[in-house]
Amino acid sequence: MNDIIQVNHLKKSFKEIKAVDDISFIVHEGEFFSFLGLNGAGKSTTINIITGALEKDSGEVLVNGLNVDSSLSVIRGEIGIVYQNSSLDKFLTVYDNLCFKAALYGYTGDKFKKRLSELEKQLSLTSILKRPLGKLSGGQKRRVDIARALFHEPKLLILDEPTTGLDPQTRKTVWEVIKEEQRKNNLTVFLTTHYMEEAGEAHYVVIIDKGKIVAKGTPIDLKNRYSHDTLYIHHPKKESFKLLNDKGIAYQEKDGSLLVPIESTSKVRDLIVREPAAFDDFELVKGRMDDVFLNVTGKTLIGEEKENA
Amino acid sequence: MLKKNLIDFTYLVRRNMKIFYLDKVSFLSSLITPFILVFLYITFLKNVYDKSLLSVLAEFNILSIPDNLKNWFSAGWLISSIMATTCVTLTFCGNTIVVSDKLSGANKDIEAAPVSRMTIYLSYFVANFLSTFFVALIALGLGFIYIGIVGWYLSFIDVVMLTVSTVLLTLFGSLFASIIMSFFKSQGAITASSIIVSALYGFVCGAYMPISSFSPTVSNIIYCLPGTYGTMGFRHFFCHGALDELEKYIVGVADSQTASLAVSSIKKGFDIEITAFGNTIDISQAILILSSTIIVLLISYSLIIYFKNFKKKTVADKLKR
Repeated sequence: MNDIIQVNHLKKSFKEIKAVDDISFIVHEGEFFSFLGLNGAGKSTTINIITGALEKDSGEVLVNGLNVDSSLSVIRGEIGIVYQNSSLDKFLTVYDNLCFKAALYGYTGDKFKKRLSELEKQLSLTSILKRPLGKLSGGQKRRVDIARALFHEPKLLILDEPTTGLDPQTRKTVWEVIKEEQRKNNLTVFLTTHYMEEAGEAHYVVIIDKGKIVAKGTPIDLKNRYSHDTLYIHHPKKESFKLLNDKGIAYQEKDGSLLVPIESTSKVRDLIVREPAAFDDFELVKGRMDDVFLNVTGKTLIGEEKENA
Repeated sequence: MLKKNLIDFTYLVRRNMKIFYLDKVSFLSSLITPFILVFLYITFLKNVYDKSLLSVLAEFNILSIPDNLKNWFSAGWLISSIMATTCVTLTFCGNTIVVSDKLSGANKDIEAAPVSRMTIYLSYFVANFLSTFFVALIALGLGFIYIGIVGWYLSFIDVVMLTVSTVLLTLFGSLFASIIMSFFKSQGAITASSIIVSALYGFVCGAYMPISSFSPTVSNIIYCLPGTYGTMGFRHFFCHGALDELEKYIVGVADSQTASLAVSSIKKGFDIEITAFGNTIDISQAILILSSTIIVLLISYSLIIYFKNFKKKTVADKLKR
């Protein structure tokens, strides 16, 4: 797999604030990459440097092997961006919004019409094509944002918190479209988010906090390293308590169930096989990305800082 | 590369112009002064113009003139006022897109595309100029129709020079608005500036009452404003045909010296000829002043764009090396 983004020792400060503090990471072609962090962690600053909207202080950024310092114009042609706040023109129709932006990437005339008809079907735009942006719902506007970002068939799609403020159904639709495009065209998706479930879907996750990378890996790796699985024993019986106490296994009672933090799934499997009477009603829950984030940063992703217990 | 730049430029200009015309609230509010002028003209300004004209003539013992001469003169004066305000106030509306793009993040989106910043900034300026110019041309056309109704007195040269005056004053307005707006970063600031310009410019350019009727100090301050000479251009080419006919009429009822003095007095009293700081400015000098101002503003605007967008980057690049 080729590296589509290479960031080496990137630094950017705003006066005394170190927005990005010596970060390095690689994004592979066709990968769904997630950049996870709170607001102000340095996610958008990194994106702005990758797209050339912001000057870096030091470090190196390569996109598809090209340096942003010397080949920005070519790089920009290979990137599609969906911003957190839609930048569509509210007075223009959907058609005009697509037409004027696509022209800047060389999509005019028949080439524009051909690509438009593809995206029309894919994103169900036909019924809203002639409507002004100001008269569309939030979900419809997001579809137009995505169509605009994908119009020039970029190799890299950057999504800056694309589903913030959207209802669950629209979020689902947005992700279906993005994943289909990724599958069909080997598109690389670079997502910044503070939604755990979205980050958990990625191939690779980088967690950034106060401008520094604090953890990186696949979601499974991160869960294995920074969280633990939990065995829930519902409606526990005497045998359940006896087994746990005899074996010296720590547990916690909650809402009539026993919560048992476990280190090894195989040990639990052996225990269940040996003592089935203690496990009439149980479930094994994999560690969550929320736990990973909490353990790595000491913060929860609702924006409140919490001391890591 | 040139072809790509040209395509980018064309589409960006089209986008900016379309937004200009579709932002109806901003568009109509910038036309407040011309609308007020038409309303006032219908209700009482025409009578004021007629009485003012007759009061000047009365000093030369000309107590009445034919209605058609009065109508020609007042029509010329009204339309020149409308043109002078339209060409400037509309440019402020056209320029609001630069700031609203900054606020909505649209500029960031456009700059993320493979398009040069010079093309982007040039497209804002050209779109503003063309949008205003097309509206001003429509206003000029309507003015010609009105003059046709009251009685056509303009020569072909007048029509050509009025079109040239429209181009020059719109260019002046576009550059002036671009420079002012380049320092604004909030919607409140641009709305306030548009409203202030729309409301004040009518007075400053002498659209409601001649500048010569202000106190000498105020008049001299206004004569320092280059836009005044754009207004003078419209006044001259819209009114001199009517004044030539008036002079012929006075020669018939009095003598040529009286006619010449009376017309000269009207020209001074109605800003068709300006005497600034003791010097009489003729029409060629007025055009020269306006053209020179446009060149100075163009250089100033280019420098502002350079320092705001390119210089910063160059310095950063040098530091990196």
